[in-house]
Formats: sequence, structure tokens, C-alpha cells
Amino acid sequence: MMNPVIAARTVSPVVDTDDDGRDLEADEGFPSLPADGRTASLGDVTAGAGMPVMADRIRPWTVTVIVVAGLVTGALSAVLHFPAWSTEPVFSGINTTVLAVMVALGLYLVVRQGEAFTGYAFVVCGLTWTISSGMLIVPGWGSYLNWVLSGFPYAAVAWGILRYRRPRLETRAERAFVPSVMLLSSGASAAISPFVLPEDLGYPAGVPWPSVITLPAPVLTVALLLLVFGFLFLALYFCVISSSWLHRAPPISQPALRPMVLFGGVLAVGAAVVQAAASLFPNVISTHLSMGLVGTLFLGVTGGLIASLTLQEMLGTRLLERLPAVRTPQTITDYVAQTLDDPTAELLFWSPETGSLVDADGRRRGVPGADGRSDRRLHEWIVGGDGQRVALLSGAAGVSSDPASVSALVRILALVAENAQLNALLRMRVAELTATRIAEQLSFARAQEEFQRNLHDGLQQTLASLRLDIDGLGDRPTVTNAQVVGGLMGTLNYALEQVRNLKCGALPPELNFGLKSAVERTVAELRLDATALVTDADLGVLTLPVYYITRETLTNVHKHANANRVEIVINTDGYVIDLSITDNGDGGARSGIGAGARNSGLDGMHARIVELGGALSIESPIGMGTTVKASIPCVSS
Amino acid sequence: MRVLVVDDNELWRSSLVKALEDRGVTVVAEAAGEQELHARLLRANCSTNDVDVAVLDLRLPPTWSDEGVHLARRLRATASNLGIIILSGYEQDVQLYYATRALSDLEGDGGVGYLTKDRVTRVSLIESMERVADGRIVVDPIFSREAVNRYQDHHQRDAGFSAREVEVLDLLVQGATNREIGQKLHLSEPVVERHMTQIFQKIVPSDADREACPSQSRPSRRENRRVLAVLEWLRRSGRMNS
Repeated sequence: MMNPVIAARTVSPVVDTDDDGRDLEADEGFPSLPADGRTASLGDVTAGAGMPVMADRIRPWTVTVIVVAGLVTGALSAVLHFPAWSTEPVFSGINTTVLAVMVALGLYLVVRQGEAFTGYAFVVCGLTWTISSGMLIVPGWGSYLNWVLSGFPYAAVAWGILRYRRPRLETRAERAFVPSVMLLSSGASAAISPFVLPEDLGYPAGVPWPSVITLPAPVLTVALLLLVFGFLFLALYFCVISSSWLHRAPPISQPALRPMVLFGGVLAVGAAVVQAAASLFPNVISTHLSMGLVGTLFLGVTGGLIASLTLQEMLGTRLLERLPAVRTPQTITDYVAQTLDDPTAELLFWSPETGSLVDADGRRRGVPGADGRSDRRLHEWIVGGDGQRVALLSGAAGVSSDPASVSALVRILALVAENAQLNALLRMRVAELTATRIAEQLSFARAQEEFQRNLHDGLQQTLASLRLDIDGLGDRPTVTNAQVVGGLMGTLNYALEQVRNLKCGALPPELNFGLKSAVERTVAELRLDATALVTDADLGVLTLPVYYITRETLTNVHKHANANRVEIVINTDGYVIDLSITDNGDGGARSGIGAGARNSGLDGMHARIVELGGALSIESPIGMGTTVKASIPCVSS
Repeated sequence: MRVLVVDDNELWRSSLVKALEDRGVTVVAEAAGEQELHARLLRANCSTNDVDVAVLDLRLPPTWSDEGVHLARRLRATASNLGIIILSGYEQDVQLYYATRALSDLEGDGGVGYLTKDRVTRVSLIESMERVADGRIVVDPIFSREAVNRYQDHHQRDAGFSAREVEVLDLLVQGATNREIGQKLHLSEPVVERHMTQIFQKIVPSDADREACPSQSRPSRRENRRVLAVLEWLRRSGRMNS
């Protein structure tokens, strides 16, 4: 897999090919490579979208304990339900199935998906539900225990759903939900039980029940009504917090969360309705029937969970299908932004030669958000076949709460990133060459201009004056020959000296001392009252174009603006050069770029900036001065 | 005759001033730039209204592009009768642009001249200055030659100017009237007029085009229009990059 050519290319002083490349350039502010960031082969792409992320933390003995506990409770549940098998096979069957399915799914979540919390919560739900329903079969205190245990499975499943694929509950409302369920369900049940008789609730008469008093019918009705409203309130509460969580989730995670949340809501509302009906009309809906119905709803939740898991597993396929047919750096970056539904998300390509990042247009870029001005962001390296970094996926921080989806996306991007990287590097190279060409053009133009000036303002005029002097010899009969010859020889010698000094230099000599002194010199030459803040950074090949633009703009200010104050700022952050020239003159400079002879300098300037991949803006309201702003992306060379 | 000289090339300026003074022209002030000129005028206690002709270099500091034309415009603002002569080193391509601007942009009634430094002689310069002081237009004949050459290049020499017509063109841009042309070429005035019509027909395709041309739409003096027609034709034939 290791292409020797590529390997040789990537082994540069900047990129340290350490064994796992994790501690590369920590000081340059680049995110580190992932520990397992070796290779994503084609086969992995769809299969492992939901690969274990937290599974490493689960020790084998934990699994053993869970399995043993599951088996024990399964057996217990079967024993508990055994007497009823003969009389109510449906009731017992459903509730034993709930146990089996929930424990199995819970264990799967813990072991395979690394969803420890949700997995345990499902196991607990299954156990408590089966025990609670199984208690109904036990004569005596069984019914009372069933009544008191009723809150546990709801609390457990709600907690499990809310913690599904996220490390913690985020809002206060979410954290308050489970205690509310416990309080209203088991707490209120326990509190009300001393005041009612079991037969008031549809249980068999005569079982031992902690009754101290039988409430009068109206008070009992009110108490039960309150309980019913409590259930409905909880159902509504759950729907609100789970849907708000769903909306807050990163768009890439939403499809996989939706079935889970949906079935959770169905369970909450359905259970509330069933419980209400069972409490208010015990003659119509028997306790066993209600337990059977709610058990079915629990099964529904497991169905929702399975749907969610399947969708998550299919994420890779879905992302693969949506890959653009034409894979240029730009379309891939658009794809990333679309997939994450985040306009700031993008794919930046690694340039091994320069040890920097390059965007889709081939412009040099820093790590987004690394300046500390913005929020933390998601940064994931796409690693190539030889284990070297290829590109950096950057997006808003929110999506990092769903590492499984991000890693699915990273795997897909690994398929196309290397080609796009070459494309982006090529663009960078073209940008560099363009800048070099423009600098050379300008340099040549300047040299030519210099030459022409020396020729026309120097030598030509000397010769013209010589000619005029010779022409006038007849006008001055009194002057001696020696005087005439002396004067003409002097002028001729001067002309020869001018010829000797004619040269076609390369760089404008004023740039020898840097951009800053060249700009200051221009300001002095044009007799402008200006403050110039010019960066000391080396702009490389762009120095000349930037100087040219500055000079051209200042010449325009001198000629047309009628200004007595000019501010010049030339700055760079290493990625973009920003140039701003503001005067307090007449304004009204033609902002529509592209017409007229008078501003052909401006047009040339504009064309060059566009060619350099930059932008030029001119604001010039009449009477309000003129501001010329240009930004040019840096090229690395 | 009283003149001003503005030129940043010391050597040329001194030759020029010497030449003018040898020929009895009073150089009221000579300077390298606009500021110096005003200082000199102030010191000489003289206003631009007392001057007949200003001889200006086209290229002056600080940008050495077309400061001479700007200076001419400002001088004309204070003295509308002041004759202006722009003297410049001859450079192809840009020259016609500046010449047209100098001839068409200036306000006022004074004469205008556009001459090249390496082609003037003392005699021709004084003569041109007199014409300009007289309110006429003078242009270096090289422009008329160029107009002819250019025209012939464009039309594969199938409808060229006759030798006589070129002679008329030469005199035309030197600011000569029809009568003067006739005297010099020993022709009668109607013959000169016929040649002129021929030239204009070749130069300016139609009246409609002439209407559309901005430098023609402004009412200007007759001589001015005649010279501008040559220059305008040069512009249209692509000789001049505007």
C-alpha cells in the first residue's frame, strides 16, 4: 500500500513520520492525528458506521455479570409468570418477551455499540417491568409491590432513551425528568396506596394491602384523577424534552435518532392513557390487560431502538450514495457542508511541502477556530493510504457529540480526499505561479517604464537641447569656437553618461529596503500627508503586486482625490494580505470597474487582483472621501 | 513676446531659454514645477495675464504622466487668453492621446500648440509661438504624416492621399489658414478648399459619425476643428489608444 514515491514525498523535514504520527506539530496548532487513524479500507465504509466507540471501556467481567444477572432474572421472571401461563398466556408471554428482548438489546448496546448507559437502562427496564408484572401473579403482597414498582421501568427506559448516544443530559428539564417519574409514579402510588383498597384498583379482593382507610368514593376519584393527570403530564413532559433534544442534535445524527424518540413518545403517551383507563375504569380494563398493553408498548420502544440502530448502520451507505459525481475539492467541501448542515464546515487539504492547510480554491489556510476567537470546533484528520494526513474535516463543535456519524463521514471522505488533495495542491501551485508571473510582469513593466523615462526624460532631452544649441550657433557670432565646442562637448559627454546609465533593472530599486520603506518613499514623492501602517512580514512574491497596487492607488489619490489626509494599512495574518487606503478627499471615484480611459490604471489593478484570487472594493461617496480595500490570498513559495 | 517656461529637465530648459532670449523673446519666468513657477512669478511681480505664451513640458513631477496638461488647465483658469504650448519628447502611442486632450480640453480663447522637443528649431518654435500667441492652433506636422500613413495602412494603399493632399495636411496642422496654404503651395483658395473637402471625406467618413464624436460636438473655432479632425481620425483608425 505504501507507494515509495508518495512516501518519499511525504518524508519532509516538516512532516515527522513518527510511528503513529500523533505528536506531529503540536506547536503549530494543528490537531493531532487520530490514534487509530491508519487506513480506512473500502470494506469498512458501510459496515462500521456504528463501530464501538466506548466499547473499549467495557471489561469482560462486566459482560459476565450482566449475562448471569440476565439469566437469573429471566429464570425468575419465568418462574414468577409460570402460574399464569396456563390461564393468561398472552399476558405472561408479552411480559416475558419484554424481558428477553430488552435484556438482549441492552446487552447488545453495551457490548457492541458501546452504549453502556442506554444498554444498562434497557436491561434494568426489562427486569423491573417483568418483576413488577410478575408480582401480580404472586398472591398477597405481590399486587402492592407491583403498584409501588410501577415507576421503575418507565424511569429506566426514559433515561436510556434520553442518554442514547450522548455522554450526558444537557438541560435541567432533562435531568429533572427521571426524578419526576419516580416521584409521580412510584412515590405517588406508594403514598396513595394506604388510602385505597386493592379492589378499588382492579386487583383481586382480600389480598394483604397496607390500607388504613378506605377513602370515600369522590375523594378517591379525585386522587385517581390527579394521578392520571400526573401520568399525562409526564407523557407530555417526555415528548417536549425528547423532541427538543432531537431538534438540537446535529443534522447528521437526526435520522438515526428519530425512530427512537418517536417510539419513546408513543410509549409515554400510550402508557399514560392505558394507566389512566385502568385506574378510572378498572372494570373495563383489567390490571392484567393494562400490563399486557404497556408491555407491548415497551416492545415498541425496542423496535424503535432497532430502527435507530439500523439507520445508524446505514449512515455510511447513505453518505456514500450522496457523494457528488464530480469530485473536485469544491464539490467535496460543499458535500461536507451539506451533510453536516453547517455552512462553516469544510474540508481543508494538507500540503506536505509547505506544512500547511489549503482550501478548495488552493489558498493557504490556518486551522479554523485555532485563533481562539471562535468557539471550539470539530477537527478530524482524513488519513491517506500511507498513514499520512490528507485533509482536515472542520465543522461546528456540535457534531462532535456524535462521534459515530463523524467517523462514518471521515471514512467516506477518505475515499475521495486524496484525489481532491492533489487537485487542491495543484490549484495552490497555479496560484503561486500566477503570482510569480504577475510579479514578473509588473517588474518588467516597471523596468520598462523606468527605461522609457530615462530615455525620454533623460537622453532624448539632452540630445534635443544639443540640437537646439547647434541650431542657435548662427545667432551668436561673438562666441568663440573653443567656447562653442566646449559647451557642445559637455552636453555630449553628459548624453554618453546617460546612455551608460541606461539599464533595464529587475526589481524597482525602492523595494530593496522592503515594502514599508518603499510605501513611505512613494508617500513622500507624491507629497501626501499620510500615515502608513505596513506589515514587516515578508510577503514573498506578492510584495511587488501589493506595492504596485498601493502605488497606483496613491497616485490616483494624488491626481484626482484632492485629499489632505491619507491612511494606508497593509496587514497580513499569514493567509490573506489586507490592504486599505482611505483618504478624506472629494470621493466620487468611479466604482463601476471596467470603463473609461481615465481610470485604466484602476482597471489594470482590478484585473490583477482578480487574477491573484483576491477582491477589490472601492467606496467613494461624493464628498466623503474614498476607501480602497483589497484582499489577496497569500501564496506560499 | 513674453513667455513662461516650465520644464523639469534643467539642461533642456536652459537651452530653450537661451534660444528664446537669443531671438528676443522675454522669458518672464522659468521653473521646474508648478509651485516654483508661482514663486518665480510672485518674485518677478508678474501675473499670468501679462504673459503671451506658456511653454510647458508634458511630463512633470511627481508622477511624470500628464501634469503639463493639468497645469495648462489651471493656468487658463486665471488667464483665458494665455497661449499654451505643450512641448514633449516624442513617444509613440501615448502622444496622440495627450495631444488631443491638450487641444480639446482647454477652456478659454488662447491658442494651443503641441510640439515635440526633438523636432523644433529655433525658427519654427518662435513661429509657432507667434501663431499660438495669436490664438491659433499648432500641431507638429509629424501627426499629419502619421495620419496619412495610418490611413494608407488601413486601406491597403488603394485610396491613398495624393502628394498634394499630404502637403495640405502638413500645413493644416501647423495652423495655416486656407489662404496661407494657397500662398505657400501656389494654389488658388478654391483649389485648396477642394483638397480640404477631399481630405475630410477620406478622414471623416460621414457627418453622422462626426456628430457622435465628443470632441467635435463642442463648438470650437474653425482651425481647431480642422486639426481635431486629423487627430480624431487618428483616434478612430486605432492609432491612439484611449
